[in-house]
Formats: sequence, structure tokens, C-alpha cells
Amino acid sequence: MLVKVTELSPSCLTRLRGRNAYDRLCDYLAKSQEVSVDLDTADAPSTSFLDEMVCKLLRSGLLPRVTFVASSERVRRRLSEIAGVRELALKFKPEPNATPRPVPPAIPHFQAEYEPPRRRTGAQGQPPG
Amino acid sequence: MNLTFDNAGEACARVDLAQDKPAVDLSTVTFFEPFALIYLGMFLRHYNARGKGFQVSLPTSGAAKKYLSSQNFFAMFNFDPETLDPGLLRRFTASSSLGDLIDIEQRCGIDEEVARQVKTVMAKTSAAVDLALVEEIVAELVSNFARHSQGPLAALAMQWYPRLQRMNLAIGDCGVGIRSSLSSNPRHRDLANKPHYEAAWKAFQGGVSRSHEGGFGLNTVLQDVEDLGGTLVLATGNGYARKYLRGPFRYGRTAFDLPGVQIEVRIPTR
Repeated sequence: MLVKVTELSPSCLTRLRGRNAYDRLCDYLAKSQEVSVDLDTADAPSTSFLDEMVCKLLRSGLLPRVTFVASSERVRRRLSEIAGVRELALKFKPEPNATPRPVPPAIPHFQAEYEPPRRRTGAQGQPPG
Repeated sequence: MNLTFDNAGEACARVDLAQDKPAVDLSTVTFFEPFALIYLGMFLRHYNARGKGFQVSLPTSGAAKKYLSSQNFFAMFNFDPETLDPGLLRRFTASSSLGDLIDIEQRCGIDEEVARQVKTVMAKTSAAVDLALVEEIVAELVSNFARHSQGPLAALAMQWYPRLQRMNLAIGDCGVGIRSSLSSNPRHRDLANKPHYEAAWKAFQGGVSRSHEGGFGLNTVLQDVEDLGGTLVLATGNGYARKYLRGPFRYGRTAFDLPGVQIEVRIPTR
């Protein structure tokens, strides 16, 4: 069964919406053993929305029955980060008729450096104590 | 002098809080960027709530003075948010525009509501920007306040500079701040004894949160800002983090220790 994410929630922006989408998704999972959720919408579902839905699916044991459909690079990146940070096995396919494959996990990481205080003015004032 | 992220902390640090009625000198300020409005506002609100009255020297610049007056700036931040009268709050209206200061209440669904209203206000302008990403940034920042600040009220300031082709948007509160919030999670308890800037940096890592849920908010904001070719600055306690378009993520210590979180994103427009 294929379900558009917009059928699960009119907005895919917040955790609260992700929770509501999970509730709606359960109705579909009651009717079908496997459900594909098409995440390709005009505005990409937010990471918070996706994370909330995924975490609820995980806790209820329903996650293995769900495959995400995502052709957008941005959505796939978000799924990868959720898979990496939560250490989860997520399935996705780039289009509805494709074969499901694992979402490659990725952990968002970036270089950061301490900035010594500037001599003049600025947000930076005192050296670390 | 423009009051910005770079000097707002110093301006607050110059105020002698040991005085009964400390003097806040804004006389030389000719322009307030959104971060500075929010930072200064939260400074006033935090100390007003603790019984401090301030003696403010208003800007001598007519435009800056007029702007503060048009926004009822001092009335907006001169009360204890714990005893707030909802009727006094400045909410989005049909006539809200870029340049307005908006109060953000702590309630369910406020993140989506404010994000949608910012998107609506921006759509009325000719600023060309990916509104979906802006909406997501605002939703995440408001959600962070609502879920983690433990304070009743935040504020939002936005400005669009058509000639500079840039939009600045700031959201801030004077709640518990990132370090206190994260260190309440046993996984991040060690942050309680570390500088605020380390907590600020940690908060941008994926999956780092006060609770076992969440932890993607600031990371999403950072990625969206980078996707838009913008920059981001954040202050919490006496720490800051910033990411400019070119260059690494940096963090350090601010001149003033202000509770809560104040953040500004600067997004290029066409």
C-alpha cells in the first residue's frame, strides 16, 4: 500500500504533526502488512517531523513494516541522519515501484573551533576561565 | 553605531547592575539589528522581573528612537513574564510586517503557528527566498523555546534589507539556557561544569537533547541556513556559537552572561 505523507498530515513541519501522522499511519498498517510512505511533497518534511514518526514506529514495533519513498536529496539526507543518530535500520526507495533498500546512516558532524576573544569590542569579551 | 550581535553583549556589560536604577546608554545607537533588539529586550526583561528599573538614555538618532517608539519597545520588555497579561502581548495580525517585534507565548502548536505567520509576512514582500526553509527554521527555533526554555515568553524580530539583499530574523528568550537544559539529561550531565559555549556547540550536534526524543532542531536550522547561503549566530549564558558562510563553526565567550538563548539567522534574498 502506498500512502502520500500529506494524507497522514496536512503539514509536515513539527513533532506534533509527526505524532499525528503516526496515528494516521497506524490505521493504514491495520489494513496492510507493508506500507510505503511517499515523502515527496512540495515542502520537504522536516527532520523533527520524520524523527517523531520514526521513533513512534520504532516504539510500537511497526517500523520494519514501513518503507519511505524519497526521491529528494534533502529528504534522503534527513532519513540518513535519523538512521545514523538513532542507530536504526530504515528502508527507502527512490520511487514507488523501486525495490526497497537500506537508508545509509549518517551522523551530522562538523568541525568547530574555539574563538579567542578579540581585542576590541564584540560579543567575545573575556578569555575562558 | 549599529547595535548587533558583535556589540550587544558589551553594551549590556557596561550597565552597572549594582546601582538602584542602572543607566542603559543607547544614545549613540543609530540602528538596531534583530539580534540586538532581542538581546537587549531579554536583558531588560530578565532584570525587570527581578525588580530592577532602568534609566535609559534613548538614541539621539531620530530614526532609531522612532523605531523603538513605534514598537513600544520598553513596554514590551518591561514586565515580569511570569505575571503577564495576555492582553498586553503583541501577536501577529493581518497588518504585521517585517520590522515588527512579536511576542511568542509558550503553548502547544505555537511553533507551527509562528512559522506560518512569518512565511505569510515574507510572502507579502518581493524578497525572493525559499519560504519553506524559512518556515522550517522558524518552527524549529520556536519549538526549541517552547520545549526547552522553561520560560513563558519569547520574542521574535525580523528585518529585511532590500538593498543589502538580506533578511535577518532573531528569536530569543531569557529561560534556562542550553547548558542547563542539556545537562538535565544524564547523558550530558558533564556539561553542567563546562562553559556555556561548549553546551552551545554540543546542541548543534544531531541527536543531542534534554530528553531522549528530539535533538535535531538546531542541527536542522544550521543545515537550512547553509542551504540558503546564510549565516547564524547564537548566544546562551556567556557563550556564543556562530557559523558564517565561509569558514568553520566557531564558538567562544560573550562579554555578558545573559540567561536563555538568543539566536539570529541572516538569509540572503534576491
